[in-house]
Amino acid sequence: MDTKQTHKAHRVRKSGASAKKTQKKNAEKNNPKAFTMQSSQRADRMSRRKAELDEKKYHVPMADRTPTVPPPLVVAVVGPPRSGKTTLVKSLIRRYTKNTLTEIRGPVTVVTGKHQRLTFMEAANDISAMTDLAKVADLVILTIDASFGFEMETFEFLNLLQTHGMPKVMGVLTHLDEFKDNKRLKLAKKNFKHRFWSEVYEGAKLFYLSGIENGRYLDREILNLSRFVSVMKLRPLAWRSSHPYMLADRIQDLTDPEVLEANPKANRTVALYGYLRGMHMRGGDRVHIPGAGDYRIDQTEQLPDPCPIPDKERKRLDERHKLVYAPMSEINGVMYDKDAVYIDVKKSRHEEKAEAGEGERMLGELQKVGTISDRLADQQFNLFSGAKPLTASSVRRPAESDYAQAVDSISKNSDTDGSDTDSDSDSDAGSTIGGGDGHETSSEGSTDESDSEIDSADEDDILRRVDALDTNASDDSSDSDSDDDQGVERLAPIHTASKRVNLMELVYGQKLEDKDGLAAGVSVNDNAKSLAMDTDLDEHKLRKCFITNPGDSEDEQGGEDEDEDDAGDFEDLEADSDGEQQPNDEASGTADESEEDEDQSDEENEFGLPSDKMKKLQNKFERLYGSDDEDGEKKDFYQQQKDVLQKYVDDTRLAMDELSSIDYRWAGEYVRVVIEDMPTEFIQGFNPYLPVVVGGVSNEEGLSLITLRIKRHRWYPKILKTGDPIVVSVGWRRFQTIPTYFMNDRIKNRMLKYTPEHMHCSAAIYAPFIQPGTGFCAYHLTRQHRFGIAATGTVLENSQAIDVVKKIKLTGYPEKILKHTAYIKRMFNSSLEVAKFEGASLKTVSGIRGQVKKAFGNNGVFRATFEDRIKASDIVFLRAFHTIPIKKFYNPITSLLSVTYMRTVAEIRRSKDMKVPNKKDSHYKPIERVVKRFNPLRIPKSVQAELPFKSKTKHVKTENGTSRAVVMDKHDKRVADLLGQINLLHKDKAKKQREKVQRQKAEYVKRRRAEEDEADARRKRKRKSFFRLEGRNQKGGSAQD
Amino acid sequence: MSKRELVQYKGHEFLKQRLVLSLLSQRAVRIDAIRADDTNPGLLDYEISLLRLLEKATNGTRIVISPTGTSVVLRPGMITGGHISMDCPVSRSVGYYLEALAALAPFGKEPMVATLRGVTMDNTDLSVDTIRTATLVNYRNFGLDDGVELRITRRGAPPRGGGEVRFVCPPVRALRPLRFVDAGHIRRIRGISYATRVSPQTANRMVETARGELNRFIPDIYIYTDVYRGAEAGLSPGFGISLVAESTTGALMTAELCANPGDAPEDIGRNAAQMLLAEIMRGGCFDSAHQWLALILMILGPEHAAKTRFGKLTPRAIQLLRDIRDFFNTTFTIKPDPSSSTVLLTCLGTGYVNVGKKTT
Repeated sequence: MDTKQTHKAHRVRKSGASAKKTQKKNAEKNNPKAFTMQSSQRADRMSRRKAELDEKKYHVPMADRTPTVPPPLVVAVVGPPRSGKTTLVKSLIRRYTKNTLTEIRGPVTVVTGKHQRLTFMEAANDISAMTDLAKVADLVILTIDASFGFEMETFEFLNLLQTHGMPKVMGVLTHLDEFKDNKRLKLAKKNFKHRFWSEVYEGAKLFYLSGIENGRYLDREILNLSRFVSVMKLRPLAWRSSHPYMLADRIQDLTDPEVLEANPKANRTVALYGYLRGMHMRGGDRVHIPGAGDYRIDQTEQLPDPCPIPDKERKRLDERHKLVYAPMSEINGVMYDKDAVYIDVKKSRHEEKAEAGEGERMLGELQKVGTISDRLADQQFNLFSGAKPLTASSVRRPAESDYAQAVDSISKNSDTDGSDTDSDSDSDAGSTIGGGDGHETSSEGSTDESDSEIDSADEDDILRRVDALDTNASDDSSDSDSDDDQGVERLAPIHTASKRVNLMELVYGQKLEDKDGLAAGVSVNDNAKSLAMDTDLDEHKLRKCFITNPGDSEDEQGGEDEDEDDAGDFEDLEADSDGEQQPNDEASGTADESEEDEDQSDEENEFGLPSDKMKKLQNKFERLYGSDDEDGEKKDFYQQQKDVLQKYVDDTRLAMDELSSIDYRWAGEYVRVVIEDMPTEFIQGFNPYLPVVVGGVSNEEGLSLITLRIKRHRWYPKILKTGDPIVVSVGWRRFQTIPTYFMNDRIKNRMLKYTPEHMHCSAAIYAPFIQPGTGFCAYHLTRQHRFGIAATGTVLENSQAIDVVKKIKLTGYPEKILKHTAYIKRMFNSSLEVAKFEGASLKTVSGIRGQVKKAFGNNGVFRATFEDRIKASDIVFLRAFHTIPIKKFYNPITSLLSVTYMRTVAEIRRSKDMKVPNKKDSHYKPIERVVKRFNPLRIPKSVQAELPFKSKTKHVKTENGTSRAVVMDKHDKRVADLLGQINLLHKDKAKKQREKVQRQKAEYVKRRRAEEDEADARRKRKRKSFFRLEGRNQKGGSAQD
Repeated sequence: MSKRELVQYKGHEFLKQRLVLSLLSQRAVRIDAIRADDTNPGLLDYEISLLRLLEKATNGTRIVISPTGTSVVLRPGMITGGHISMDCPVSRSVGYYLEALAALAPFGKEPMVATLRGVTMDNTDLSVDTIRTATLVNYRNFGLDDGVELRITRRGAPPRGGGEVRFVCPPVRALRPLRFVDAGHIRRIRGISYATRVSPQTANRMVETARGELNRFIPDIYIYTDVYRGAEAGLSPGFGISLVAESTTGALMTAELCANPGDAPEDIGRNAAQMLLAEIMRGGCFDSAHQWLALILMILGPEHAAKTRFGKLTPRAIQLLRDIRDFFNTTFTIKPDPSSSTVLLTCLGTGYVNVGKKTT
């Protein structure tokens, strides 16, 4: 004990892999010359490359609004069915808390470390649930069944994540114990890893869970996984850091039971519990619950954190701080439900299944307690003996509906801040101020008639300095109590601080009417009066407001004489030293810097230290405590921007105390949110396996036309059609809408019937406002293909009108053709229509261009001119563009209530077993073109005679064109016959000879082939015998050796 | 799904700010009992013109005026901006309309180029000079620096007007949070003394007395004289002065006065100077004429805390605070600062993002 404890010294490895590694690492250090750059060109290239890589790392700086006590991170466990999600969550919870959950329902929050809490949520295999979860998850664990392979759910979910801001993703390979062959296992792991990397990013973490023990994954592997989770770093995501949201982990029905009794389908008042994330929230804010719609928060309330981070700084997490909070699931037999807490008295499985005995059945009957009305309905009693027993139904209840209405009205009145009452009181207040204003002026009988007329007409713009001046002056000279001053004096508390009045109460308070009745004394004065007041200006006070003030020594540090010389700059410094605050506006930024410099030089003198020593000390200070007072010049632009944003966040943190009088709920708090008028389906069909997200949508409520940049997903097997309804998930919302696809050709937006196959195009939809730049993802509600995500893209613009056009060709036929003019019929039906198209350009089939001139008559015929005379057989076209109205269809997908959605035409046809209408005109038919025969050109003789020689048609006569009959004499005939016979014989002989040669040739070829075959066979035999012999020799030889 | 309820008011007071807030918050507003008991009930010509202007500056706005003109329902559309031109009735000066445009223009889809014709200065609304030298300069506290412009092409004095101004304002995506609590000390005073269809000497006479009043406090004073002649001088004679005092931190205090028939230029100059002194004494980072602008732009800032200091809350600012609560569900914390008898206001911005502005 008394001797000093000695530790075994570390022995450096001298051989093996780690020794080699250090050798390699040290090589550069030991022989630096060998590693210097060899070429300046290369060095230049390398430095540029490095700069490029550095530049790539930059992101647009974003304010990190993570609160000091952050809410638990949401860990979404996602995967196809039977891929081990539940087992993984159970294993992780067991690892963190030593608790075993029998069933995972809803989010489970656990304290996992000194600074970290996690909320686990398992994703149901449903596109709506997956979408909602993708919007709130901070970390996603993708479980992949290795024995089966990747499934479409995984890829779909990754796409959902990418469009809604990519959180951290980890993969987990399960079912690895089904690989019996180690080699195959290795190969599978490698393949999975690379496929995963190409989908997420190079080097994404993929865990391997090799087996199950006691219904959980191996402890060692889960421990590793949990360590990775605990060191994870998160980047703020733009959407989530600018919107409040909450993943509800408990839901309570607060509806008055009596209301429900009267009307079981009455809208419910629901309380949602959960950690508030992202931003602050306030009662009265508007929220969207994906799957349920838009609501107004009735009230918010902060609750004690059910899973607090241990308050005291500890070395490690105490066992009793390892809390788990999962109100929807059952922990240690306790479960919170909508309106009760259930305690599970353990009952073994076989007992439950056993046939209930007499006593148990009776107990069961007793437990079936209905509502009061049910029981009343069942009750019956006799008024008189022997009479028919009375039941509740036989007795008429007096004015049941009246009763219900009464209850309704009560509940409405009990509304904490009914907006209508509020606004009423306000408006009253407003009118009292303004109205009083006007009256005052007129009653005072101001001297200027024209002025007073206008004054009584306008009250809202009594912002005139004249009146303000007046109130101020009266403030100062409050002892002179005229009735006019009285009014002003009553108003004075609103702005003067000297009176002990709560300004908030005065401005926002409920008792406004009275107060503002008093405030009515404000009046617009004419100039003479304001002049009179001016003489009361407190000159001493006034002088203090100027930089040239000589007598203001008490709250300044000194150096007044210098101040007067140097105008404004020093004065600003003094304002700072008043200890009020820092000016933030850029306008005075440069001045501040210079002042600070001067400030420092002043301080040097004050401390009496030499400047170099001072600088040293300053450097040391900066090293130790960070360089807070560093000048902006030293930081690069990026850092400056980040600092500015950080300053905003810090200021907001500081202001949180000031704002505490307003009931803001800050991110990180555990809150209860009460929502009224929730449809009854929300409670009745509540499914704890589906996430309930409450997302704030303060500025995103009005409906507008939205332009999207959209691209069909490359894995989606079809292209998308204009007019087919599609579900779009953007922001917090999921809704069905009818897109109109179009493409801009630099002049107009041309409608597209279908999306291009591999290109971006634009789409116009009708939906609530959404910030431009937000990503979205589109899919069909019912799975139609193996891969569900139909398209992805971003929001470009919100507007009230989008001009999408479609080409339309009007055709007409010439009625009468003059030289270059023609009268065209059947293009329009009336002269009015023509009038609209006057000046429009025309074109004929043969390519002659023209213009619409004027209507001719009343039946739509018009005069048109062409660049050439058109033909009677020509068809005249008018090419025009017609604006397509964007279909205003917005249908939020209420997947938590009951879903009604629009089907595509194809779906309807399929369900009704209807065929696609077959239009004969739309058929493709072979084009039959008649060959046009032209008559030869005939030139009249008279014309021909006139023509110059060059242009005359030339008639060239041919010599051998005709055959003449020959009459032979006897001799000639015999000669001819003989020659004919000889020729015939010769021909026959030649034919025979030819046939003979062919025959001989064929015979020769045949003989040749036979010979060759024989030779081949012989050669083969020979080779075979040779190699046999050779082989035998070698064998024999080796045997001999 | 609960619908957003209509914001309802009674009376014609504060009509303009309610309409503007409705357009900014995208909430419909209904105003009833507009001069219901008046001998001349219903909306007046300038209020109708304002509604018309708002309709021009937006797309999709639906305005329903009851047959008697005593109630208005405005269902807001999107602020578009673009080229607007309007002949304003002479009952109010163009400052009345410019104030509404100044609050809306930064949140439009396109740059707003508004040409307004009418009376450019009177004693009920801000004159165009003050708007140019103070209101639009105050934008810079919210990150709106470049491209904002107000050009006075013609001056028009009441009663007949005949002036013309061109207001140009580019759109922004989001504002910068305001953190402006140090009012500073007054560093310099600038001003414009203008005269139309009267002797050019009038302007100089106003300057002289105004300087005489202010020179006791600060030497750095420069008041420009701006005398318009011929067609540029509008249809009526008139003169006036607009003064702006700038503090070391950039706070602007304004005072202005326009002559009524029979007023002497010397009186106008002196009175304006004294009004400016009173304004300076009240303190704060925004003068009483610009509290409305500061409040609206504070609430439209990002979701950070915005803080500023006002001298004294004007009745109009108080009503604006209440109206902001109705439209945006946001309240300010208002704290008195007894040491300087000013008021500190803090709020959290609503995170307003100009959704209409196009991204590529």
